[in-house]
Amino acid sequence: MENIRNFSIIAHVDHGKSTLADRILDICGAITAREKKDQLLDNMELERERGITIKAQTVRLNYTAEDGKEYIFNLIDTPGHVDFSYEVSRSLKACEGVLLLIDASQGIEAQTLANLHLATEHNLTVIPVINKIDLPNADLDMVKHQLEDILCIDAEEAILTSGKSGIGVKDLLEAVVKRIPPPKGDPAGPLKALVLDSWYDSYRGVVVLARIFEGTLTPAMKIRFMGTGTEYPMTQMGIFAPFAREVKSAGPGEVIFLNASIKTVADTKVGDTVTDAANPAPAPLEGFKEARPMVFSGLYPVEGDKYGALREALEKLHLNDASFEFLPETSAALGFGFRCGFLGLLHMEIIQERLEREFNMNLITTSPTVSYRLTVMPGDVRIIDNPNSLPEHYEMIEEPVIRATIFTPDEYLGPIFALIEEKRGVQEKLEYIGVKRVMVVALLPLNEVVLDFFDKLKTATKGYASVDYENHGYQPAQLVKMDILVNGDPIDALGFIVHKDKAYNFGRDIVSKMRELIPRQMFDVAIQAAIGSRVISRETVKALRKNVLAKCYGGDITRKRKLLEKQKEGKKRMKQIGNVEIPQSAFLAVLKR
Amino acid sequence: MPEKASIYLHIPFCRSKCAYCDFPSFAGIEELMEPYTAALAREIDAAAKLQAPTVYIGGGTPSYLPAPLMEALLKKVIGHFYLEEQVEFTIEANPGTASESNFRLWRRNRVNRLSIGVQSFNGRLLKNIGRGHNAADARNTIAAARAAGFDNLSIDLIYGLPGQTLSDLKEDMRTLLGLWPEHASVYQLILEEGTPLEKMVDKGEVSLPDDDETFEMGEAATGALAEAGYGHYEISNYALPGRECRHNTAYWLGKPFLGLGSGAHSFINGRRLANPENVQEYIQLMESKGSASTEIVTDEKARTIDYLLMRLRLINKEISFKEVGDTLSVDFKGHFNIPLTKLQAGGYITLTDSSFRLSNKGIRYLDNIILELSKV
Repeated sequence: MENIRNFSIIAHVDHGKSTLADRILDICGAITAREKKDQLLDNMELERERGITIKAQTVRLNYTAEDGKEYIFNLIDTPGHVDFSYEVSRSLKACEGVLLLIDASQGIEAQTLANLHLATEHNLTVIPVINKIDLPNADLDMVKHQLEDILCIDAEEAILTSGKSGIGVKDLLEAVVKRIPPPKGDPAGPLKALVLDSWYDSYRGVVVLARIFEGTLTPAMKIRFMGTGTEYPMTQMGIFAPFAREVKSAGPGEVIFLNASIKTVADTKVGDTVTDAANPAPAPLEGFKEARPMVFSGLYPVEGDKYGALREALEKLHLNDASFEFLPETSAALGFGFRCGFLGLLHMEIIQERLEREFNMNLITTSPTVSYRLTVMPGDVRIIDNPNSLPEHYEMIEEPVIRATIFTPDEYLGPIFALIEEKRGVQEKLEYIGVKRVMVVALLPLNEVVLDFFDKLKTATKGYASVDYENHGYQPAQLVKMDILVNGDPIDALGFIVHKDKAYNFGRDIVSKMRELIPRQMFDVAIQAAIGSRVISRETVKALRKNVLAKCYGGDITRKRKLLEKQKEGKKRMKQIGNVEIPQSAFLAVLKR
Repeated sequence: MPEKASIYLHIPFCRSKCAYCDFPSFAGIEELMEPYTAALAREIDAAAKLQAPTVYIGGGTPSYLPAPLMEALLKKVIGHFYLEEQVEFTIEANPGTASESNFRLWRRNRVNRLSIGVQSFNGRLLKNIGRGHNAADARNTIAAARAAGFDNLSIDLIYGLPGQTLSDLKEDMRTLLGLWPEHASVYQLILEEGTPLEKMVDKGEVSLPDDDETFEMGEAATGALAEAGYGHYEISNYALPGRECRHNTAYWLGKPFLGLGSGAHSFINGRRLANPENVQEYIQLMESKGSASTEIVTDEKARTIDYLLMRLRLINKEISFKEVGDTLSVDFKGHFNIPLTKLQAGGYITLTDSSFRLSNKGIRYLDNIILELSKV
């Protein structure tokens, strides 16, 4: 146990975490060249493509230190995106220390700070690492200043590395040995292991990743999940080094995977404590706060007959990612689909992309919304995540708020202030963190953020700003439900909740877009945006003056028939709202905004 | 008694290809004219000796065919088929491609009707669509046809042309009426997929009049022709009394016809046949196999719809259920009862116990009516 070191690398996205991890694996001789894939820890195709880590991975390494002793390193990977901060927190539970990675040319970014906060919350030893020092625009002085001024870390402690060339990585590993404390725990005590993650593997079934804090786990045990109370006989246990390898026992400080005859991932709750059914621990370990979906949207198959296939695909994805929710939903405009809850926008995009890529689904996604807290009357408080379930009368509606921390070059302060204002935000704090770099902290309504805040921030700052956010509860707001109606019938898929002051512009934009997209019918079609019975915007699609093919060419009737078939096909892709036929493309265009 | 059917002959050659055209016609393959007419002669020889109430030589540009080749073709037709005494024998001619002496030659070979592809008398608009003639050519050609003795002329116009205004169309109508053709076809431009015009519109090089203005043009054309005594007997066709095109009417009534030449279709004994559109392929097939047609197999439902979508184009001719029943051997009223009732309620048709006819609204929305009927 004295020789075990459990640690994570935490970093802002793109600061070189995966490359450094690869280098560490190299030095520890974990993989042969034949096995090597670049950035080994990012497994999923999508992760590789986007260069981000979504699901935490873990790897056990053997390192022979300068003192001649052999050490066991458990390198526990963490996701790099704000949507998955709960997963970062989960990984940190298994560690005694972290490597806080900072890009030598970029300096401290929003997530550097957020991650450091998480690490200190968990009382972990922090080793600051300034990475990419061989970049031509590396600015060590700047980063060292930032370390001391913003993070209150002694710059002398920083290890200078280049994951790419391997400079300093050996020093780093020595620092891991010397600075990070070994785990504690009694190998003879009753078993306490924390469930870090679980997923479904088509070969092994449900795989549980756990960190042992007390006692010893063996494959002969019957285990009990203390939270759910369920018990399972063990079938197998092992480590990832980095490929799965069976082991016969494991004690405190070790990170292992286990298989028991568990049917579905849903039976294993992340944060639960595993104990020995025959000799249970008196109390479980402290778990995690459960990750709650923050962003909601409807997912509909473009082809109505793919509903069953979509359900199967969602169920499969859910096996490995219990953090998103889905419930059946019906829309007059879009047919049968699901209302899904996600941790954030990126999470939503990832699920959508996986559905499209791995399951060949062709999807329509309704505009993302957030969950509102509604006081219908004193004592009747509800959370609603679908604009259409807003009742007509209620006492108060509150919207979720986030605290966003933005790091930016100061030249973009103007546009950022304008954006915060536009998004109904309130600036909390502004602090210079270098000569030309500023940290801005602001409270922002989440429903403004989910729409396009990140895109707009990127545009406003030419991509130079970084942002991180945390939830900041609910606040009352002047929100209204806006309906879009065609010839008096509301289109459920286009109903949304919006701030009173923005309702007019929103409504007008959607109405004019719909006008462009709805083909002329045999009669006038009125498109309206309305709040309750008050119409705030209206446009008309004038009736088609005629619909008749001018020329029927000679004897070739097939031409005419083909045209007819085409019109028929076109009709099939139309959705009937009242007596108006609306092409699906119209919904798509409006929803894509 | 020989079988009775109209005859269509296709001439796929054009001096230049118009920007809007997606018909099987080609410019720059003049070297194929001789082998093509030879192949066509072969196809005529192989055809049944039908009794022909009408003959129609269309294209392409039949008038672009050199006189000797046309003369040989005409003689072949006259020699092979039994042309009825009152036969309607039409050739399509484009302004600037035929002279009075051509017309005289045709007339000597029983041709008695010309359809002249004027499209517009406005030089600017003609240029926009890549027509190879001008307004003077059009007038000269019509004058030559009259001089040659043709007393049954049709003029084709197109409206909704790029750059055309309502007053341009009215001007075209005045010019047309001043020439007193016996028949006029006034088509709304169809922007066909894959045509040069479609590309020009997509690129913004030319712009088409909007739906409302185009609609007004159609109304203005119909109004002007009606005032001058032309009956509106088909969606796009107008004629002085008794001068309706008998050949096209045969198509619309679902009567049999034999189509010869590349891209030509036939409807004989209830079967639909088609020749390949590719000219070389057609020639090769005729040379190697003596036949070029393949059957388009249709089911009963398709046959019903085919019939209706042709028949309904004769907008003033009441459709009796007996007529449809006899042609298609279906109980039309029973089969289409639901859509017919719906269309009646919508004001698209007027329905009696034994027949129905299109209302003015129905004429404008004919495609919707056919879609409704084809749902059954």
